[in-house]
Amino acid sequence: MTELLMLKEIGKTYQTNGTSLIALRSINIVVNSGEFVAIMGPSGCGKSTMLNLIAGLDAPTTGEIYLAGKRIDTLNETQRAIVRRRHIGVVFQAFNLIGNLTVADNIELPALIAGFSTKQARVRRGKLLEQLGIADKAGAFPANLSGGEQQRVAIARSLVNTPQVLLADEPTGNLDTESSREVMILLSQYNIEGQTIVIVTHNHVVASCASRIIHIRDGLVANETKVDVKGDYKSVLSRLISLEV
Amino acid sequence: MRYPILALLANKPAHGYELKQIFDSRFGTIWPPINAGQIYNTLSALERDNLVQSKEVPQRGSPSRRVYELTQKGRIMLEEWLEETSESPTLKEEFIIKLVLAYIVGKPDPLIIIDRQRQEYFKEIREINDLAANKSNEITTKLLIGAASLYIQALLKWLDQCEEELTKYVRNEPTIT
Repeated sequence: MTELLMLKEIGKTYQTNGTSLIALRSINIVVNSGEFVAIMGPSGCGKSTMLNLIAGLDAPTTGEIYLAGKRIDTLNETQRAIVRRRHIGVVFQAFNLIGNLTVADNIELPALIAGFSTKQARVRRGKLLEQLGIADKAGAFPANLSGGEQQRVAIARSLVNTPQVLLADEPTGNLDTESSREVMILLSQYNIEGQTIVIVTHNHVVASCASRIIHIRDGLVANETKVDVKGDYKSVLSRLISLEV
Repeated sequence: MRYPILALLANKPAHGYELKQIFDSRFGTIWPPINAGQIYNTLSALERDNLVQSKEVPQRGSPSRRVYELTQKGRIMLEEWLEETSESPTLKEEFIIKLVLAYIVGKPDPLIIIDRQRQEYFKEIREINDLAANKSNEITTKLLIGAASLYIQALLKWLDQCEEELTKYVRNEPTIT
């Protein structure tokens, strides 16, 4: 396994009205290619901040972040956006789909922005619509979809540029049990096929799907639980299908 | 073990080994494993209290078997027990007491034992997920798996809450005297 993502002594302090709030003190994490990592921790422990820093949505105060060996935290905002579009997929709790675009257009848009031709983007979106079982919703608008369907569209959108890492911030946070299970099965399927995933969650059963659970407390890594991912694709899936999420 | 055995005999008489087989197929691996000895001991105790009665049934070509059936007294006792409400096992979980006492003793650091216990519960929840994946589970097994899964999830949530409270408390503590 190769090191895909490295956080080296990452710190983040927010300044508001002369007072400083420490979100992260010193985080050291290495994520290998093909891993499925869950980040857990109490509210305000800095776990979402960490995901935002990896996604390049924000810059760390101290430390270094490397993606596939390249340092990404020192890039300027434009360069970070390029890295994010090309190499990082992000899924949010609130789906964040564009309301006046159809499902198909939502999925296709990041590919077009990343510079793929219309034809290439179409092929990619077609494949994802099939894989995620939402082909019949291609022409629908997000508002007419259930939460679970919207999150599937968001996952498709995040994967359209075949990112090196998929980041998900509470992806089941707004979903019922059945939809949560579907979303976790999808993420696990992509992970089994090799997709590296880093997910932030409060849900223990969701976290138990990951191959490694990292616990953040007070801006530091408190502990890690490693999981032996045993069994083949089918047994992992059948395990997930029966979850009480 | 008394009530489970009474319950398994409620619909039809059975011999000891048969009860073990019914037990295993009903509850699968989720129930702590029972051995034939436990069943025979329980059956003798139940017979002594007139809750079950037995008779020898000759077998062709093999030693005769002792077949047990519920007595009227056994049936009434079972039904009464099933109809009673039960108290929840709140605070009977050993770790709950341990954590609170660790806080009083001050050593080991409660946050460290929370981390360790969390790993243990995660291990258990994964084992439960594995059991749940067995498609041929009986409905009775499924119900037990659901209970075990939600129970451990509650304990994990409680650990999170303890962690949050303790971290907050330590942070706000003025000075250690």
